[in-house]
Amino acid sequence: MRRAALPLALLVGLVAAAPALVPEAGRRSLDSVALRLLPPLSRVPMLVARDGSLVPMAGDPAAAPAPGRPFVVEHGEVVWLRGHGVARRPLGEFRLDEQGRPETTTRLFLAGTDSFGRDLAARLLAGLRLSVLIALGAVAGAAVLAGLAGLAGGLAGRAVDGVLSLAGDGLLSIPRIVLVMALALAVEPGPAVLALVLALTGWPAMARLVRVEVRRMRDADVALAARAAGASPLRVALVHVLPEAAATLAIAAGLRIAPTILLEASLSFLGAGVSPPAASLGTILAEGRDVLLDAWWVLTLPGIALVLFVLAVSRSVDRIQFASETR
Amino acid sequence: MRFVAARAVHAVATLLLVVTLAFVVLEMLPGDPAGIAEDPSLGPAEQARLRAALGLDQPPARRYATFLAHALQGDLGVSISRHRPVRDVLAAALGPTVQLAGSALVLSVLLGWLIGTQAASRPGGLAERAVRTLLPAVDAVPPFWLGLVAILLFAWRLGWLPAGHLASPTPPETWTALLVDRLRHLVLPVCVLAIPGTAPVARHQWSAMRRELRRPWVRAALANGVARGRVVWLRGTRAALLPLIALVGLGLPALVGGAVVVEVVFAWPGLGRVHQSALLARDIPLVLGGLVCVSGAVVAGRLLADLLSAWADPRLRRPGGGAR
Repeated sequence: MRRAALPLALLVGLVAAAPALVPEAGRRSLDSVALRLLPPLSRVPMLVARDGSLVPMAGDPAAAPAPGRPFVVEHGEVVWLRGHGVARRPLGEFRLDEQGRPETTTRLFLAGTDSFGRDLAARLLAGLRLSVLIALGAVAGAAVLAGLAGLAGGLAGRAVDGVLSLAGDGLLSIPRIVLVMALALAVEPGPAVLALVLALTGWPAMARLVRVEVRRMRDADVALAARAAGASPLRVALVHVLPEAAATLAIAAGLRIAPTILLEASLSFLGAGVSPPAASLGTILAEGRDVLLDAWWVLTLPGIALVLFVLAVSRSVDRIQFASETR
Repeated sequence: MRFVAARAVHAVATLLLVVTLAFVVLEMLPGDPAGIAEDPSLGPAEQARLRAALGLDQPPARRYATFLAHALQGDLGVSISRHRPVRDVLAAALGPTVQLAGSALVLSVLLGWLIGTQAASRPGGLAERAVRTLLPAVDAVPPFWLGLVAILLFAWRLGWLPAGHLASPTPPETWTALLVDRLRHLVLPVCVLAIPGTAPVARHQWSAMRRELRRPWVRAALANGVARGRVVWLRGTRAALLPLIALVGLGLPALVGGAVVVEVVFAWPGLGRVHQSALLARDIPLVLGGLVCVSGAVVAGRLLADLLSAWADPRLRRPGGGAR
């Protein structure tokens, strides 16, 4: 069980720590003109400014200041390739080597850049992190609600049970995307709000499982004995019934993580989730749609990464489930 | 009868829940619904008169009742962005959605049934290996991304199929060409929408058929000389068919939710696209009307599936046999 849970913990931990591993977290662009829509595996030479910031030299090769060279020094100024033209600044603004020539360095854009010149790989990691955090928050919230609803439905009598299961069945019959899109009108969608809305609409399926387990435990010998020994109903519920249902709930919640990541991506893609400046998988893919015909990689690469990640998460949850059943 | 009555009560309760949610969203919206309060040119007396005319001076419970009554009569207000009654906008969009989702439903059930049965009848064969390895991957692919990649590949790079819309901007003359044109526009969206729906059907059919084929009657039929294909495809399928109806009913919300996304990707003028463009335009009556309409369609579809399974399975019609 513990060994099976390791890959999942690794995956989620890696993604949550991702921004610490990449420099600018995909938020800012070094130069949106020079770096716009570079294909994957682009190597971009960069000048180093005095303050240590990088100045990329990229663009239309025909516009290069000298054939095959990204920059030249003339009249005490550096002239470098930038987009469809050149830019020039005094030599003194750059860091120079012993011969008095500007220092250069190269950066690799593994997955290319998007239409704002941002590093797509960094942005992808940042987006994956936000999507995973939203999904985890949503699933955790839904699991708590499901636990409460399941306990109440299983223990509190027929009227409560009837109302809860009717409400749960109702929520299950409304397409969740459509419902969340309508709710996005009333509340300003942001990461936290989105997680909350997904939690509020995601509990019924899990609550059903908990309810079944609670009903089974309520009539079990352990609960009967506790009640005969004078334990209060609350104590029976918390100490004897809840722990049994918690295992079921944990597995069910684990199985919801991957679909919730996909749901978040769909909602953000449709404009009902995280809005553009923030990077989530859905907003990155929506930007990819806008440049579909100019730059295939902005759509394709994050999508493949998303599919692989979701596949990895659901495979490891499957293994956890298998391990817990064969225990 | 009790089963049918219970399902009908459930359907009505769901619709009530939807309308209530729509009302709650309306109440939670910032600002005055009519924007009266922001208009400085109106005096206090005029404001009060306008509020009374719009029913805004009533207590929330009273307004809820009015909202409910109007929704029941199909009056969902007037769309802000399209200047037409919400009912008319939605009615025009319903046809394309039913066409898209219906075709995808038929395709996914057929495909899932074929793959699942084949996988169960030949363990270790190609279909079984596909079910084991491909189905988890299908669950991991978001439909909107699949749709965009399909457009990039089949419409743009290869140029085989149109990238979206119901039909070509200039419709062909003859009706056969018209039909072919319509069908060509259907291919990509229907396939993209059907693929996620195929997985649960195939998985269900696979496990149900495996169970069924282990039963003694299969061996008896085979011993009696009934051809294997006949046993598997005719008799076995009939036995495994019943839960499939319930499964399709349960999968309807996911199908319609997927249709929303696919419609947006393929510029398909259905309910989902109307709903999304209304959301971007913050056209409140149209978004809420879309919610009520889509949910109503799903609830009706589920009720139909319940009735069908009650018709096909007499056990469900017995008193007390309401449980699945």
